[in-house]
Amino acid sequence: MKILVVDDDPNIQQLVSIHLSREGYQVICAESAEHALQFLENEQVDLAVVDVMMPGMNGYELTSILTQDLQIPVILLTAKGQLADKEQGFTAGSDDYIVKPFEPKELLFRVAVVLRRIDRMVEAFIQLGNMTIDRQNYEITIQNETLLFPMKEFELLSLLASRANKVVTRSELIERTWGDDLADYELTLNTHINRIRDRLKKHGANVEIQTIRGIGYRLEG
Amino acid sequence: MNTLYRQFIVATITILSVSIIVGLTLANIVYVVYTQQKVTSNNIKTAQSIVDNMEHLHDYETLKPYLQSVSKLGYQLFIVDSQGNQEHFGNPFDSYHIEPAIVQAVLNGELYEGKQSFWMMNHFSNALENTVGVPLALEHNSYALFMKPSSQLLFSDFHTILLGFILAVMVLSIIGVVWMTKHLIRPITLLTEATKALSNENFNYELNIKRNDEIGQLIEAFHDMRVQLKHNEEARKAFISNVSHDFQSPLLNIQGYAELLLDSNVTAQQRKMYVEIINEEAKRLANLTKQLLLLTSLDQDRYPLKLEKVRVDEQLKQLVRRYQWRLAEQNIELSYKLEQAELVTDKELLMNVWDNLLTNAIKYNRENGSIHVACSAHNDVVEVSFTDEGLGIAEQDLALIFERFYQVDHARKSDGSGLGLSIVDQIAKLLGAQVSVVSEVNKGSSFTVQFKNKE
Repeated sequence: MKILVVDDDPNIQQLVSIHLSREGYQVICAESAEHALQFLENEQVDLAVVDVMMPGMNGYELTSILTQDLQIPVILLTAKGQLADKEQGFTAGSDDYIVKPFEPKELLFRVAVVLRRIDRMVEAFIQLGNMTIDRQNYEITIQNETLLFPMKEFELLSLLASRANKVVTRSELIERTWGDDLADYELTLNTHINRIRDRLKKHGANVEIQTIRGIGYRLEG
Repeated sequence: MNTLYRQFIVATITILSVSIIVGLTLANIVYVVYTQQKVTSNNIKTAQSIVDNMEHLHDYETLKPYLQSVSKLGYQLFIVDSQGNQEHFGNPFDSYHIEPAIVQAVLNGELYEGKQSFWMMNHFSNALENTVGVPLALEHNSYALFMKPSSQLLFSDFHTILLGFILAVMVLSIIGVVWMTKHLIRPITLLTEATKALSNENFNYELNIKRNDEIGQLIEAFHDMRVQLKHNEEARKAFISNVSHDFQSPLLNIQGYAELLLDSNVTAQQRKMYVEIINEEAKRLANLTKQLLLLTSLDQDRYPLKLEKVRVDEQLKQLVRRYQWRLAEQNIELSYKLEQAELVTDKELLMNVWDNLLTNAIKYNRENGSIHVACSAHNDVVEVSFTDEGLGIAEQDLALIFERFYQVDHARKSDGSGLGLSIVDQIAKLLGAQVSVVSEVNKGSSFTVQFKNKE
């Protein structure tokens, strides 16, 4: 995965690129929008992290070029107090935003979310019973209440929901969630499914996960 | 002390003198304008009735005895004939000076109304000039009769008593002022001593003065100030010792682990662990400094609130989104139910409240725990609550958690500064909100912030 970081502050540029490359991303830096566009004439990237405040062409203008003309998803870095600019960021087409100063882990989380979104190209919303799953924002809504599940549980539930009323095998669940099909995760899967059941019950969802012994699970609703 | 004392006495004497001068001047004006005329015409009437009597009832023989007896009634008399022979009856005058022209005019049949003067006391002087003169014709001789009420009659015993009275009043009022000044100055002197003691940080100096006047109020206010200062001083000392302790321990940790790292024998695994500790402690220090700065700025008498309309539900959504990665990291489930709610308040400060409450709920949660955030709005009351399934707070600690630097034992182990909740409390006070907490050990805590929208 190749990520372009556009920021005129060399310190932030370096900090961001160190954390991203440690996560295994390939990072390219640019100190201005013009420089970034020049670079993109010959190169392809999967995602751009763009600072809003830059001399010359600002982050919003760059974002609209990247997202509309080049189809590159963008995460905007905005300063504190510019939260009202959020809408401006989204109208420019950015996929996500982070408010400075931010924890490196927040950046990694957001990058992962955006990349997974484009990777899967799945439907954004799944509706089942009184439950809505928003796969863009990792949110589940049950009767006016919004739930943020732990990530793995969210992955499992959205996978089951995308094939509602059909059986999903244990090995597929493990592979899609943990990226591994080893037997190590057999027990983990059981506890996760049980937790999801508890949560759904607690928040009054009228969907239910059925165990199909020896094969897998089926979400009914 | 001396100057105030002297000032009082000088002021009193000045006031007395000025009032005497002004009083005399006013009395003089009244006398000259009004009374003098009346007295003179009365005197002339008296003189004329004497002349009438003499002209009709007496001859030259009985003239002198008659005038003698009139003088005994309290008059001073002076008579001149056309040859210039003169004689006085009754008390002698101090001055017998009179213009010959005046005498001549009276001999020619005119009236003399006394010497004109703008100073009333001149009118009372025992001088011939101060008499009234009337013509007198007796056995074809013309005389000039000058007459005035006797000075002795004017300055009688009564007047002496009156003068004595005025002098007594003056002396007594000066003594009174001296005494009163002393009485006034004593508590002020004591207050000065007490103030000096205060500036030397002696906060236990008691003032035993009970008065119901303004000085009494001043002393009461001083007492209140002393108690407040004493409290502030104690709070300040506690604060400083807390701050230095809380800064000291992470610094010692950083120093200690940095020294360990210098040792070339550390394994890669140990090195990683040490660096992690140093990183954690540095973060703790950074957080502490940030919180302390906020708290100090909140302490200022008038924190400049930037009031604007704030959508509380939107703000809470933003907050949750910002901490999504931490929730994911700790496998915490967060649910929220947010009714649309609007407040006119300080956005930044309010966000700080939510931030502190949510980070607390994450920090003091348990693995795989849950947090519920709720926002409700009805009848102008906006209520936001953060409920966690975490460690909970023991009942004896509940009253103390809003105190600065207070930390429940298990909280000390994490990166808390002990300032978060006191910031929440301070901001809530500033924004006019109520914070309440319900908690049970090992079950979790629920913090509720309630706003009454004043519109």
